Amino acid sequence: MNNELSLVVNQIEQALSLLHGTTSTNQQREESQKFLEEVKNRPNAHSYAIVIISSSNNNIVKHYALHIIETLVKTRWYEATDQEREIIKKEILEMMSRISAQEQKFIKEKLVTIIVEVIKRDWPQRWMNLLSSLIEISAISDTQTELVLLTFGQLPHDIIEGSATTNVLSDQRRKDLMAGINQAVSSLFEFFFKLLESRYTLYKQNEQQKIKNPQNVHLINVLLNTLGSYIEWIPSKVIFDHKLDHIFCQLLLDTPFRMGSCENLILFLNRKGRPDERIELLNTPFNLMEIFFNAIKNSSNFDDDYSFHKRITQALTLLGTVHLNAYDSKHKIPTNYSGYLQLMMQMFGHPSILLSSLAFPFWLALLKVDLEVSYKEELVKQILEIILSKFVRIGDPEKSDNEKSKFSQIDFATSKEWSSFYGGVRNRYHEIVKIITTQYHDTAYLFIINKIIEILESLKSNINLALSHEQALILESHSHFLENVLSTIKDLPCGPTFFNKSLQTNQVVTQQTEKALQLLFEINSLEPNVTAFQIDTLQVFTLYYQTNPDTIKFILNKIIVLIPFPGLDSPSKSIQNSVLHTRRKAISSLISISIALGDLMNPYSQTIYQSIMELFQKDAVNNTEKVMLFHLLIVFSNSLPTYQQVLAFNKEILGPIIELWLSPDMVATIQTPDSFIQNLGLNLPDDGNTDQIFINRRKTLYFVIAAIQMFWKKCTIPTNSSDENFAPFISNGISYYGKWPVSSFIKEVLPGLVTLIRTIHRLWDPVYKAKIHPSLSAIYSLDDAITNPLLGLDYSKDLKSESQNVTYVRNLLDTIRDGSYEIIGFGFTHSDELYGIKEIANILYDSVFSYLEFVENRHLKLIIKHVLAYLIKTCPSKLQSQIFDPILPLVFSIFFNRIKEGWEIIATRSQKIEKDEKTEIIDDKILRDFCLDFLSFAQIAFAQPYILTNPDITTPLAYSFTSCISAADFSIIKKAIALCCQLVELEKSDPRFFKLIASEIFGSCIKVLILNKTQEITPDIIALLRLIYIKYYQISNFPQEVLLQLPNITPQILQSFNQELVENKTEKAQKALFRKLLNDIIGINSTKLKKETIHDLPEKLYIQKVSSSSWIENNNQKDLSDLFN
Amino acid sequence: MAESEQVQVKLVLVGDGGVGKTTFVKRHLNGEFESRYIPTLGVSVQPLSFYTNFGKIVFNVWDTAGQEKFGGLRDGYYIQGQCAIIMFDVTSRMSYKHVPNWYSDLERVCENIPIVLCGNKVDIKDRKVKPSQINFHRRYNLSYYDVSAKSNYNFEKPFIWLASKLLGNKSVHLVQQPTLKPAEVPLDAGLMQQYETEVQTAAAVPLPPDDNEDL
Repeated sequence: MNNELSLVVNQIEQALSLLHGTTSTNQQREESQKFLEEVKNRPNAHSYAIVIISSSNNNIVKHYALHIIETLVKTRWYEATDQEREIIKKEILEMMSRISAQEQKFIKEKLVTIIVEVIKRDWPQRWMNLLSSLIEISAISDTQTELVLLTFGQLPHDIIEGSATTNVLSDQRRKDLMAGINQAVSSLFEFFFKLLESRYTLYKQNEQQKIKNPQNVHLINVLLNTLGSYIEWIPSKVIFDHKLDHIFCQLLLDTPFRMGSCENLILFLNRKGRPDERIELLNTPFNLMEIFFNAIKNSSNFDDDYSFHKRITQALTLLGTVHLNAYDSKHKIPTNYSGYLQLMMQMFGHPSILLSSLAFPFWLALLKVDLEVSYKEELVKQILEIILSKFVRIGDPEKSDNEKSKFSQIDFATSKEWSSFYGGVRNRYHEIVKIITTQYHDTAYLFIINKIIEILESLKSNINLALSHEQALILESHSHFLENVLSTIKDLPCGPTFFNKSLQTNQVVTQQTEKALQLLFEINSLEPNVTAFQIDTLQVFTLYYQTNPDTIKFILNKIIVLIPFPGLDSPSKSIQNSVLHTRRKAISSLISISIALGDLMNPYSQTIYQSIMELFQKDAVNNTEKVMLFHLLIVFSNSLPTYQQVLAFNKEILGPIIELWLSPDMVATIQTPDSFIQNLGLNLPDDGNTDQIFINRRKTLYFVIAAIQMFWKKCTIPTNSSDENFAPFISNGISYYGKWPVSSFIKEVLPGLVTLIRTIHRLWDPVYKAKIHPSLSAIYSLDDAITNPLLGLDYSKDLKSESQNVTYVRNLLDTIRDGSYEIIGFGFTHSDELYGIKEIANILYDSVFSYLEFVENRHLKLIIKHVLAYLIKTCPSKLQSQIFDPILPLVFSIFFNRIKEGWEIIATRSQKIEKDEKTEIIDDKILRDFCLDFLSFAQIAFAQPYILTNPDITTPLAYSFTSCISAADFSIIKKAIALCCQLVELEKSDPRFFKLIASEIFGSCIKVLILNKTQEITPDIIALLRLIYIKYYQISNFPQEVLLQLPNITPQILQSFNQELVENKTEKAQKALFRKLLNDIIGINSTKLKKETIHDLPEKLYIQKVSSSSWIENNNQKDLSDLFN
Repeated sequence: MAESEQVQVKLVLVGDGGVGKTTFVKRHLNGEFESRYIPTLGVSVQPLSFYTNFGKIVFNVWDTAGQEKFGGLRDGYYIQGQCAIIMFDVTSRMSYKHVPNWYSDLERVCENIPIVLCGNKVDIKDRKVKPSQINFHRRYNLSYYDVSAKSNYNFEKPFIWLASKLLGNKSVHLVQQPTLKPAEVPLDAGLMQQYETEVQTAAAVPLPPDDNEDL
C-alpha cells in the first residue's frame, strides 16, 4: 500500500470511528460524514475500497468500502474504464471466495447486492464466465454456497419483476439478461438439483444419527427460497426433468422445510398457461396425496403448525380449483381424488374461520362443476353439516372460552376485525347453501329440518332450560339456515309443489315438516330466546302454509298469543330487551306472513282484528307495538273489496288518532318553537323533569305522527272496487285510477303537519337552540348508536351513559321529522291528494322548504329522499312551472352552498382543530352521503325536461355539480362528472347556458386536473372536457378562454389544437389530444414499485384472489379510508 | 440493573422522507443538547433520556435521512443498532407501502432487534391508512403505535416498549414524564383510541336514525 492510500484508509477508519462512537459530538459526526461522502465520490474511491476489503477486519469499515463500490456500480459504472471494471469484478468474486462463516450478515448481503448490480450491467456479454465462477465458488464452503444461492435468487427479482432499481435498465439490457438466464437455466437447475440432492441426503443422515446440523437445514431453506424465484416462469420441462414437483411434495413431510416447499408448490400450481397445460402440473400432487395427509399430522408447535396448515390449504385449494377449471369429460378424475376431498373437507371444517375460508373457493368450484362422482350427495351432506356449525357466530378473539377463539387470536387483532371478516365469510357460506339447495333441494331441506327437530325435541324435554349465549346463537343459526334453504326452494321450479302432499314424491319431506311444526306448536317456553326461535322458524314456512292453508289457523293461534309475551320477574335490562324483541318479532312475523300469504289470510282477518282490539282494550301493548299492529291491520284492509269498507276501517282506526292530532293541546304544542319547547318541557333540566304531563305529551306526539306515517306509507288503493266514490278521474292533465281512501283525511292532517315541520326546522335556529335546557342539548347531536359504528366504537345499549329522557327526545325529534316528511312525500304518490290543493307550492314553501338555512345537512338529505324525489317524479307537467319555479331555485342554491362550503372546509382544514374531531368525522360522512343522495336525485330530475328549461333552476344545479367535482371523494366526483356529461348532452344549445357549461363546468374540471388529487378520475374528466369543448368551441369563446388562462397554452397552440381536433374525428383520438394538451397539468401516474406474488397476498384476500371474484375491488371502494378522500 | 445506572442504547429511526421522523425526535427536550440536525447528510443523532423504574435509559436516536438523495451511508448507519423505529405517515399510503422495504433493509444489517412501527400524523383528519389496514407489524411481531408528533400523542409509547424488550420483557414504566415541547395541536386521546377499532363496515351504516325503540 502506498503512503497516500494508507493515509486515506486511516482517515476513513478514524471518520467512521467518530461517526459511530457513542461519545462523539454531533459536530464530529457531521465532519466525519462530510469527509466520508467526499471520499465516496472521488474518482479513485474504489482503490481505497479494494485495499480495505483485502486488509480490514473492522465490519463498519468493510461495509463502508462495499458501499463505495455499490455507489460506483450504481452511479458511475459506464464511466469507469474496462480495466477498473475488471478489477472490481475480480475483487468482489475473490472476496466472496474468502468470506468466512463468521462474517456479518450485512456484509454478505451487501456483497450479493453488488454482484447482482454488476450482473445487471455486464452479464452475459461482458462476464461470460460468471456462472461457472460462481458455481466453483459455491463449492468452497457452506458460506460460499449460501452467497451464490442468494445471488441467483436475487437476480430474477430484479430483472423480471421490474423493481424500482430495474428502471435504470434499458429494454435492450433487460432482453440480454433474459436471454442469458434462459440459456443458463438448465445448467443452473442442474446445479440446484445436485445441491439439493447432496444436502438432503446429508440431512437424512444427520437425522438418522441424531446429529443437529442447523447450517445444512438453513442452506436447504435458502435453496428452496432461491428456487421460488424461478418456479413460476421457467419452462415446465425443467421442473419435470428434475422432478421438482415430486420433491416439493416429499419435503412437506420434513418439518423444517415444509413451509418453503409448500410455498414453491403454490408458485408451481399457480403457473400461468392454458387449462390443459396447467392440468399436467397436478398429476404428481394428486398421486402423492398420502403425503399431504401425513404432513398435516406432523406437529411441532401450535403457531407453526397453524401457519403451515393455512399454507397447505392454499396449495390444496389451488390444486383442486385448477383441476376443476380444466375439468371436462376428457379428463379423468385424478387418482386419490376421494382422499383429496376428504382432506379438503377436513380443512373446510377446521375451527379457524380463516383457514376454513381458504378452502372455500374449491368447494364453490366443485359444486358448480358437473363432476361425475357417485359420492357427491354424500359430500353435500358433509358440507351442509360444516356450514351449519359455521353459522354459529362464535370464535371472537377477545373471548377465550372456545377453541375457535384460539385461532382467531392469531388472525385477528380485535373483535371488530374478526366480526367483519366473519360476516363476509358467512355470506359466502350462504352462497354455497343456495347452490346446494338448488341442486339437491330435498337433501338440503331434510338436513336442516331434521336438525331443527332434534333441537326442538331436546327443548321440549328441557322446557325450563335457561339458554346460554352460545345456545341462543345455535338456535339462531338453525332458523337462519332454514330460512336460507326455504327462500331458495321458493324460487325453484319445484317451489310451488314442494310441500304439496299429493304431488311431493318424497313423503319424508311432509312427514318431517309436520313433525317440526307440531313441536313448534307444542313448546310453550318462557325463555324469550326459545320463543323468538319458534317465531322465526314458523315465519319461514310460508311456502308450506301456501300449499296447506289449513295450517294457518294453528300458526296464528300460536303467534298471536305471543304478542303480549310476558316479561320475566327479573327486572334486569337485558332480559327486558329480549322480551321486547320477542314481542316485536311476533308482530313482524305476522305482518310478513300476512303479506306473503295474501288472500289466504282473509278468512282469519276477523279473528286477528278481534284479537288485536282485545289487546288494545287491555292496554297490553305499548305504543310502538300499537303502530306495528296498525301495519298488520292495514295489510288486511288493503285487500278489502270496496272503497267504502277501506274508508270505514280507516275511520275506525285512524279517526281516534286524528282526534288526538287535532286536540287543542296538540295544536298549541306544535304551533311555535316556543310552545313546543315549553309544552314538552324542553326548557327544564333533564333530571328534575319527571312531570307526567310532559312525558305524556311527548309520547302522544310520537305515537300520533308514527301512526299517521304508517297509514300514509302502507295503505294502498282498492283494486277491485265498484263503489261510486271510487272512479277514475283526470286532474291536471293526468288520469288517475281513483282516489285513495286515506286521502280523505288530508285536510285534517296537513295544516298541523305544515306547522309542525316549520316548528321543527326553527328549533335549529340558534335563538331557539339556546332556549333548550343545557342538560338536553345532546338532542341536537346524533345518537351514539349511529355515530359509534362510524367511529369504529362498540355500541351497546347497556353502556349508554346519557339519560333515557335525552334519548327519547332525540328519537322524538327524529321520528316526527322523518314521519312528517314521509307523509308529504307519500302524499305526492296518492293520486292528486296534494296536487289537487291549489296553494300546494306555498304550503311546501312554508313547511318542508322553510327555514332551510338552519337545518343540518342530514336533514337536507332526508328532504331529498322523502320529499323531493317523489315531487320530481310525480309532479304533473301542467303544475311543474307553478310548483318548481318558486321552490327549486331556492332549494338548489342552498344545496350548492352547503356542498361548496362543506368540501372547502375539508380542503383547507389541515392541522387546525376548530371543533371536536368526532363531530368532523360524522359531519364529513353526512356531507358525503348528502352529496351522493343529491346526485342520485339530480339524475331523476334530469328525466323532467322542465328542469333544463329554466336557468334559475339549472344554474344552481350545475354549480352544485361543479362543487361535487371538486370534492375529495372518488365516487362523488365520478357521479358528478357523469351528470355533467348528461347535462351537456341534454342541453339544446341554448345560449343562456353557454357560460354555465362551457366556462363554469369546463373551468372546474381544469381546476380539478391541476389539483390532481385523484388520478383515477383523470380519464373521466378528459372525456367531459372533450364533450364540452367539441360542443361549444365553435359557438362560443368560453372554453378557449379557460384554456388560454393556462400558462403553457398560447393562441397559436390552441389554434393548431383546434385544427387537429377537426382532423381527428374519433373520440379516442380527440381524448388523446386533450391529454397531450393538458399533459403538464395532469402529471404522470406513479408506477408500482414491486410486483406482488401470490405469497405476498394477505391470507384474508386469498380466497377472493383465487376465486377471481371482484370482491377486492368492491371492498376497496367501500373502504373507510376512501370516505374522506 | 441498579436504579442509578444509566443505559445507552442505539436506536435507528427510519421511514420515508417527510413522514415526520425529525419532528418526532425533536419533541423531546432533554435540555442536554441543542438541535443538531444535518439535513444534507444522512443522519442526525439525538440522545433522548427516559427515567424508568429500571433507571435512566438514553436512546441515542439515529434519525436517518428518508430521502434517497440525502441518504449518505444509508444502511451504514444501521450497524450496531440495538433497536429501531420504522415510521410512516398515516396520511400517505405510499409511505406505509414502503414499510416492508425499510424493514428488510433494517433486518439485513441488524438481525432480530426489537422494532416498533409508528404511524405518525394521526392528528390530521384526512387519514388514509386506517388502523384496520395496518397489519404489517403482526406478521413480524413488531409493535405498533399511532403517534402524533405535533400533539405529543403516544410519544413515549414506542420507547417504553423498546425498553421493555431490551430489558428482557420486563414491565417498564416511566417514573418521570419526559419533558416535551408543548403540543402544537390539542388532541383528544379518546378519539385516538377510537381509531384503534375503526373498521370498514362503518361505511355501510345508514344515516340518519330509524330507531323506533321504546315509544
